Amino acid sequence: MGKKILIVDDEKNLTTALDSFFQSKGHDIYIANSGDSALGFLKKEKADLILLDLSMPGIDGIEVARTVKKSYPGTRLLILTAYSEEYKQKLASIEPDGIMTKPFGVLTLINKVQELLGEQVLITPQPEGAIKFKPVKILFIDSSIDYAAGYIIKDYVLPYIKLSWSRNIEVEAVSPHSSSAIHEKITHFKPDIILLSSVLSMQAKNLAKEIEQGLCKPKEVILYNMPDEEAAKESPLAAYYDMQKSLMDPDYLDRLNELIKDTALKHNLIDKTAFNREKPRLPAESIKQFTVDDIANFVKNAISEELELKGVTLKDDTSFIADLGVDSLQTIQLTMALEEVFGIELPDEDVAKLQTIGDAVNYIKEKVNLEAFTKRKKSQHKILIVDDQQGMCNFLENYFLTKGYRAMSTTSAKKAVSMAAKEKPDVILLDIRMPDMDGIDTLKEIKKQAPMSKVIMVSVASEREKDAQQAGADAFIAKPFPIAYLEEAVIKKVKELTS
Amino acid sequence: MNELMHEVINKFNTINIMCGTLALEIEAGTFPENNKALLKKRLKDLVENIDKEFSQGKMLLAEIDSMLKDVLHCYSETEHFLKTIKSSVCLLETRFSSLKDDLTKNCYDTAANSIIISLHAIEEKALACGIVLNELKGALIKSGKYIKK
Repeated sequence: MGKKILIVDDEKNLTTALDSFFQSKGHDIYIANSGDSALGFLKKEKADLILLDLSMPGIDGIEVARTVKKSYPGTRLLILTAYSEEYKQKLASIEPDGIMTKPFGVLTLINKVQELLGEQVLITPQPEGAIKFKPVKILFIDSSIDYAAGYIIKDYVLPYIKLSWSRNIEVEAVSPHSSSAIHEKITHFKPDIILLSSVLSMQAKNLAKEIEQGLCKPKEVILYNMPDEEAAKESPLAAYYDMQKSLMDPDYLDRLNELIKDTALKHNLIDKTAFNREKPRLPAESIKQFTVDDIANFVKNAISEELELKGVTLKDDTSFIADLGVDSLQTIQLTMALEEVFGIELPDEDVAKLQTIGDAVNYIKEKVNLEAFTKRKKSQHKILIVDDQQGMCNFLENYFLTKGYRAMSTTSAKKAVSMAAKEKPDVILLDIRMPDMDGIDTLKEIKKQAPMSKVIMVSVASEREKDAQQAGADAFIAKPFPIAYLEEAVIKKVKELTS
Repeated sequence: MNELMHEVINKFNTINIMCGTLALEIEAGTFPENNKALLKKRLKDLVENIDKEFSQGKMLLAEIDSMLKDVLHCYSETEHFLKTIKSSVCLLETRFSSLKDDLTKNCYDTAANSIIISLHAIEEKALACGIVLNELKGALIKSGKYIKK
């Protein structure tokens, strides 16, 4: 609920700016340009908070402050002044609720106001039809997407980079192996910065040529994982970064992240307020939470084309991998990928032993403690966020990722239904107003496809709570909501599932 | 000196708050797509107001400069503060010009990010000017050359 704020200052431009800003946050704002008019207002109306300048014509701020503290004890008083040094003693005797010395940062002021009003920071989703500002788009082109190590990019690198930016970023990844897929991705996504993994340097070179010839117009292409310096010199691209280490190495990832930030700043795509000061907290072990089934799936994805060609029918367990032989190059690539995922030191003599995928998987089984991975996996719950606002999706996905959930999101209701069927999330946060399908219909479809998933409906349309309940919603939360409240609801639903 | 100093601090603080709050409003999606005129008006008003505050602020800075030289005879002690302020003022001026350029081009979709970037940059530079002015005030008080109210 909006609060009454009285702003007392003779700087008209300042009061106008604060008036507009706090009004946009739902508060009722009153302006007084002198001490006399401030006291006149207080005789008629009660204010929750007064922002008071000290140096004013007529009755000065000190006098107003004294009167407020004496006659209006329920009103909070925040002094805004450039004279805090000069009025130190007088202010000490008045004991206002806060003093801010000019100049002060906007965010510092907002935080102080929120603190004095006893407000929690609310999520305020972008209103329907708000002017949307162009996000910086970053595209990873990495051959490992096709392999087991693709998890490193998807589950570790992309969330890490997203978390280190506070706003205005979209990060996606694509494999360079399918020319049509990459062309489609580049044409639609229109990246500002491309990160090109060049382990397979011929592909990188060809792609670089196509980009130079106008396939797209990124501000910069950054090469990483170059196979050797010689290959980098031959590259028509501008940059070579000697980063031969795995993306799993936190130092490496930090350097890459810094490089992306510097590039974005250099090209004026963003200002530095877009970066979070604290380093993202994404536990490295989070990507190592694989089960034997996961290995099977990696292998399955990595060799899907071969399987199709051979007409192999997969059993619903892992035994197929031991029976299937593939060519040695594929094996080595796959083994390298698994090596990155599981962090196994693989001596050259052992690589020669691995002639089949089955060999590779058995080798990994021997070297790592799969039981431990399995246990960790069980402790992590999946959450799917479905909201038509990309900003809301990004915010909640990042929030729940940092809380240890396997979070994923989509802005499409239809896609949400297929994701629910495939991923069987523990909890789904579903917005009622979706562009491609009504949220209640989406809920019914989801309940058919993933009956065990707990669905929390989230909407500004609180009048539809009954409809949602009748359609099988497990909870309903009205927007706007404090994030802690939403998290509590998710925890409750997860407990219901596990109890 | 006291009045002069505070007047300049107020000018830069106002520029900082005007730009910072508008940038936050834009980022929070306050302005509707179907009424871009509202945002355009806010930006137009903002530019006019910054123009006024900024030109007055620069004149007052020049007065402080000459007062430190001719009246207080302490320019060499305070020169580095003024140099820092002047460089922030230059950067602020550059960012302000680029904001005005974007608005002249009237390209709210393609230059939208650069509008927010300029607003935050002006906010940051104006805040920096105010902070250094406060440091200058502190140095003058310490040296006993500050004339209090």
